[in-house]
Amino acid sequence: MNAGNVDRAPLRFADFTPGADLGAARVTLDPERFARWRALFPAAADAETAPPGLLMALFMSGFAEAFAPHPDGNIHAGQTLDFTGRSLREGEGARISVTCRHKEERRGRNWVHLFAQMHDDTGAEIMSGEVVVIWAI
Amino acid sequence: MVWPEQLVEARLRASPEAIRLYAEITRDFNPLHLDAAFAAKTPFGRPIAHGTLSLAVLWEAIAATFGADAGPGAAQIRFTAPIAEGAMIIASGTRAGDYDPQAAMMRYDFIVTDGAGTQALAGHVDILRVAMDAAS
Repeated sequence: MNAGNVDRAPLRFADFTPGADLGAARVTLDPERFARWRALFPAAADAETAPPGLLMALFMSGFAEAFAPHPDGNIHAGQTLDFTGRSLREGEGARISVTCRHKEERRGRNWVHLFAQMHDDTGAEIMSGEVVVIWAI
Repeated sequence: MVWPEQLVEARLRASPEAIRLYAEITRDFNPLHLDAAFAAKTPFGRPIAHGTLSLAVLWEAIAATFGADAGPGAAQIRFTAPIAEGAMIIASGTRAGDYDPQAAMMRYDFIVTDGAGTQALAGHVDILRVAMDAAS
C-alpha cells in the first residue's frame, strides 16, 4: 500500500506510537469508481449501493490517504473486518479515521497494527477493521 | 434461504487491467502491483495483485451464494501468499458452524487460491441473514 503525497518523507516504523490517532480522510463513491468496479465485477452492474468489496476498496483508499505517505514495498499481512450492513449510494461520501493499536519487531520485520473506522455523512458506522502491515522502512 | 455447505466459487483473472482498475478505485498505486521493473527487484519477482482485490473475489462468492438474502458481518483474514499478475483468483468457502436453517448468522471458513492451488488468503467470515423487514 502507498499513497501519493510526495511532499513529505514516507512514514517510518519508528514514527508510529501505539494509541495515537494517525489521521482521517474523506472518500466519495463517485461515478468513476463505481464504473470501474462494475468493469471489474459485471455482476454488480445493477447494484444501487456499493457491494462489500467496493466498500472495502473505499475503506482501503481512505486508510491509505489518512496518514500518507506510505513507503513503497509495504506488505498487507492481515485484516479483521466488521461490516454493519450499511452501504453507500453513488455520490455519497464517508470518512475513514485511523489509529495505531500496536507495533512490534518480530523475526526481523516491522509489524504495525492499525485500526480504521468508516462512517457515513450522518455519522453512522459502515465498517471497521484492523489492518496489519509489515512496514517497509 | 438455506445455509449451503459450500459457497459458490468465484473467479477473477488478476490481469494487468484488473490490477490497474483496482489501483484506480483504491488510489493505491504501490509499484509492487503496477511496475514490473520495481517488482522484479522484490522477493516476489513480478507484480502481484492487491491483497484486497483477492479478498474482493470472496465477497463476490458470498454475493453469488446468497444474493440479497445475506451478507458479510465480521471477518478475519490472513494474507498468506501473493497472487501474481496474470493468475486466476479463486475464492471458495465451507460452512463452519452446525447447520441450523433458522440461524441468523453462519460462519464460513474460506480460502482464496491462485490457479495453481497456492493459498493466498484464508480465514473465516460470519454471514448475516438480512432481516425481512430490512430487505423489504
